[in-house]
Amino acid sequence: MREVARQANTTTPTVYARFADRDALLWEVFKTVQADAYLRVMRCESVEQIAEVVLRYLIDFPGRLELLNRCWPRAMAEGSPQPVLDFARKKLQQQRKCSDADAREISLSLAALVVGAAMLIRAMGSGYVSKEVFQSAMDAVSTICSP
Amino acid sequence: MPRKPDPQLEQAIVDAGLRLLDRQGISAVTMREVAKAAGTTTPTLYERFKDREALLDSITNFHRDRLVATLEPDDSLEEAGRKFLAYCRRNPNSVLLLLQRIAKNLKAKKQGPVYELVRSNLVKIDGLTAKEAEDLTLATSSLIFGTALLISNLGPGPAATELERAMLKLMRRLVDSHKPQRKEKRQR
Repeated sequence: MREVARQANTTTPTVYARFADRDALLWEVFKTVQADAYLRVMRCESVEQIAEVVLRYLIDFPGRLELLNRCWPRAMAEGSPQPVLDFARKKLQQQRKCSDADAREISLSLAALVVGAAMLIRAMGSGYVSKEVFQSAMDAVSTICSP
Repeated sequence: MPRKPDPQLEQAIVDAGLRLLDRQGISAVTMREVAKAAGTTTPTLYERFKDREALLDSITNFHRDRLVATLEPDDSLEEAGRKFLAYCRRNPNSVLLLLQRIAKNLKAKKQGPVYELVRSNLVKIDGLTAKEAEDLTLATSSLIFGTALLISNLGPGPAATELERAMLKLMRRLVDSHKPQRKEKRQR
């Protein structure tokens, strides 16, 4: 809270006046990140493109990846909007002509795949094998998304 | 001065580290805290473990060995996936350590027991080239770890169950899509 206050050029009491605690602050940051990610995927024309954009995003912004891991459970539990996931689900339904239930299930597991790949790639640092993890994830998405 | 190996002390240290990990997560596992929890001093700890990374390695080995002990060599991919998630649910704070270990292995082109189990399952698929099996193993590992991480943060409940079911379904779809007749259909 103190660091955020410093970065925002305000005082810690001011931050606390607007956010009950660190969790509440992180949740708001998370919603902003979700919106930011959505802006990046909304012009994607396929689920494969969405997956690639999201994977690159999570690799480029490891802090946001960590935030996602921390906050997504709450989003799932509360049923709060998940713009990127919902967008991917709709695209998947169009592409694969599958049922709503199937699209939900598949998009959820593809999201887990992307998160896992991002975590592995971050843990490995740059290098040849990182690229293989990236490519294998994209290949898997492509396999699943073809009708 | 050469030190005498003291397996009992080293075990006590690792046990203390495991407890700290379990109760408070990775960041709580510092040399000072572990020494305290083990009822010893930090200098003594440094005699036994070169640094924090070495200590975390031992802790990771413990979890890896215990996880592997739950797996059978003839487990199907699905069974292995289920057991992996079950282990991660019981030991949520171990997931990140296991993930870091597999990342380390991958980077060093080493193949740990879990990776091997997944790969050996996949190479059995008819018509899968070695490269395809490798790729599929990587993708499956990403999928399993991603799911495990999300589930470990979720705690038990319908959302965790949904994630697990989705993972198993995706694994099945991935394997099925590589079977020869399906592949041919796709390539036409």
